[in-house]
This record gives sequence, C-alpha cells and structure tokens, in this order.
Amino acid sequence: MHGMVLKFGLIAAAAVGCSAAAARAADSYTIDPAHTSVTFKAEHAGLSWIHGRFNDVSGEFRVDGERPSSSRFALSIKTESIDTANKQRDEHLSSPDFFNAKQFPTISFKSTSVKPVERGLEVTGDFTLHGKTRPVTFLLTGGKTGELPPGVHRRGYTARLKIKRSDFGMDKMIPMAGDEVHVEISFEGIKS
Amino acid sequence: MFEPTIVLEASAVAWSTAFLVGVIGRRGPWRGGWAFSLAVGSGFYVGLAMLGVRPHWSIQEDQDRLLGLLIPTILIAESGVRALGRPSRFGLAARLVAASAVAPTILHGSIYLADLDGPGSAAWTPSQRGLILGALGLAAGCNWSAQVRLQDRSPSAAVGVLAQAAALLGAGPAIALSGYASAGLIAVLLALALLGASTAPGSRPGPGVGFVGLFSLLTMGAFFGRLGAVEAGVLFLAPLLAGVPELVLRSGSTPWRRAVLGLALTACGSAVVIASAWRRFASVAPPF
Repeated sequence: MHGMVLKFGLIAAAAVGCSAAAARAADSYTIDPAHTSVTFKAEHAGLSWIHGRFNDVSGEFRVDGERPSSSRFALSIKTESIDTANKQRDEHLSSPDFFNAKQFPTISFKSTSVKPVERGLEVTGDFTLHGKTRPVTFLLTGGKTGELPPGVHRRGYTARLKIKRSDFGMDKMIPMAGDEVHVEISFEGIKS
Repeated sequence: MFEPTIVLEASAVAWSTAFLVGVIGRRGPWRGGWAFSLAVGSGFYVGLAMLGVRPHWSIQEDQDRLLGLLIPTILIAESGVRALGRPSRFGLAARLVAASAVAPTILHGSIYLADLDGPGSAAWTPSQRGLILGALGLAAGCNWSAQVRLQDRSPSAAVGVLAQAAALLGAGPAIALSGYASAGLIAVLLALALLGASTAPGSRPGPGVGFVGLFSLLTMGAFFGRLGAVEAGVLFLAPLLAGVPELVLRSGSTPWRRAVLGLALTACGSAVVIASAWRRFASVAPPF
C-alpha cells in the first residue's frame, strides 16, 4: 500500500515537473505595436503599385523552442487604421467598396499549425478578412531574440504572403484596384 | 466595373428595359401596380447585372441587404398593397412599418448596432440606438406619407416618382464623391429605372420603391460612406420640394406648370448637394 502511494506520488511529481519544464520551454509574447509593421501593396489599373499599412495592430504569440509545432500565433488588425498616405483614398478603402470597416472592423489571423522548416516556421492558420475566413499558409522567418532595453526580452519575425481579395468577398473595382494583394508582416513581441 | 462606357450602356439599358416592360405591362394581365413594379425591378436589376453588381449570399453587407432584401420586398409589397385598390389604413400602416424597418436593416450587424469587438463595443448605446432608429423611422414614415399625399394632388402620379428620380440622380454622384462609389452607381441606375417605368405610356407609378431606395442609399452613404448629414437631409427632403408649387401657386397656374416647377425645385436641391460634395472632393487631391 505504502509502495503504491509512493509510486503514484513519484509519477505525479514527474508529471508536474514535465509540464513545468514544457512551460519554461515555451515563451509567451505580446506583440509590440511600436515595432510591428503590417504593410501591403496592390496594383492600380496595372500601372503602378499602391503601398499602404495598417497602424493599429495587436496580438500575441507563443514560441516553443523544444516543440515548435506547439507554437501559436494570433494577430488582430483594426481595419479603419488603414493608411496609404492619402486621406481620401483611405476613406474610400474603408468604405463598402473595399474593406467595409463599419461592417468588418477587424482583420485577424489565428494559427492552427506550425511546422519547422529549413528557413523558419511554416505557419498555417485562419485568416479572417471582410467577414470571411480562409486558411492561409506562409513562411515565418527570423525568430531572433534580444534584450532591448535591458530587462525587456524580445523576439521578432517576418512573413510575406499574397492573397486574392476576391476570395474574401472584396470583389469591387477589379481590375482598377488589383485583386492580388502582397502583404508583409514584420513583428516583435515582448516576453510576458 | 466603373468604365464610363459600360456605365453609360448599363444606364441606357436600365431606362429602356424599364420603359419597354412598362409599355408591355399596361396591356398584359398584370397591368396596374404590378406592371410598374415589374418595370422598375427589371430595368434596375438588368442594369446592375451589366455592371456585375449583385447581392451576395449569405447577406452580410448593407448593399446585399438593399439589393437582396429591401428592394425586392418593397417591389412586391407595393404591388400587393396597390392591388387592394384605393389607399387604405392597411396601406398607411404598412408604409409606417416598412419605413421604420429600412434603417435597422441597412445598419444590421454593423459597428453602430452590434458589439463586434466585444461586449459594449457598439458605437451606439442601446438607448442611442432606440433614439436614432426611432427618429429615422419617424422621419421616413412622415416623408413617405407626404409623398403619397403629393402624388394624390399632382396632375399625374408620375410627378412624384420623377421627383424621386431627380433626388436619386443627385444622390448618386454625392454618395460616390463621399467615398462610396458603388452605392452612387446603384442610385443612378435606380433613378433611370424609375424614369423609364414612370414615363411609359399608361404607367401607374407608385412612390414606394423610389422612397425606400432613396432612403436606403442615403443611409448607406451617411453611415458607411462620408455623406454629410446636411447633404443627406436635403436629398431626403428633395422629392417634397416638388409639392411646394402645389401649395404656393394653387391659383393662377396650370397643374402641369406647377408640376414642372416642382421638379425643377427638386433638381435644384440635387444640384446644390452635388456641388457641395464635389467641392469637398476636389479640395483634396483625388486619389486617382
């Protein structure tokens, strides 16, 4: 009896120890908006590229160095924070002709799987834009860490992806404003 | 979508389809209120189809709610109510209910009414929602009823609908210049369909679809675009300007002279709003 209690106790202690170790291996980060850029470009009538950004970005991610497939990434963007350096165009982009910010105020991404690959992490997740959710996959490069300022631990990544806005129901004014949109997200997180 | 030649073609098709269906309809078994609704609906949706504009399923956006819900409903409802014969209390009650339903339908699921970013995140508090939607519904109900009275006093039922078309022709450019181009286009096509249907010989126009269309598009322009409240208000009241000569010049002028003067007043209201929207648009370097 005493032996069985001892055995169960040891097993329980080992389980607690393992989960604690796993928790230590995985670091959680909160996205630092001041050092995060979500930029995009789309063609204008096939003549040139219009560049823009979203200024209000938030999110969090969890990186597990020992088990990268357990890592998680989540990002949220305020649609109305779009900025193409032209107020009139930004207002038009916020209208139902494009993003319809009053109906769909948030663009979001939530990872569903993470796979380590040669150049970084292959992340697959649900990308929600204009009220529609579609799976996207992209390569996340970087992952370097730093302490800046002292005591503030950071980690950063960069991703590039292409989407077709018509896949998300944004099908007006094509090809005047291109269907294919190139997106680049470069973000830093501060370890919590 | 917005190539000028295609827009002109779609506009011409909207007018001519509505006109032809209106001419054929007066002879068919569905003459009367049904013929007018069918003519407007045909011209409007054929014109939109030429531009590739259609409601999406499932209905998620304001434009889908207008094209897929409100316009079809009012086309059918007005035909049904008019088939009952002379204006009745039922028609009045139906108008008030329909008028009150327009704004909540257009704004459904938007940041104004829904907590899209978590509890309490809606732009309007529940009491604000009640106040604003109630006021809009009341204004809409009164305006619609006034337009029905105007139609009764006019030498022809077409005068009221022509006034609505004139207001829509003002709303189209104003809404487009306020950052919501596709809604502006919809307003122009609806105006032309109303023009075609109401000018068809023997037509029996009704004010319902023009009113619901105009009010819906102004709501869309104001809350989803950047159409100013004053501009929206002027266009909202513009069709009633057609009734001013009826009140002021009752004696000493012919009914048709009063009708023409009234339409001219409505057109002036539209022109003022277009000028205001253009001035605001041109004050900033256009993005294209």
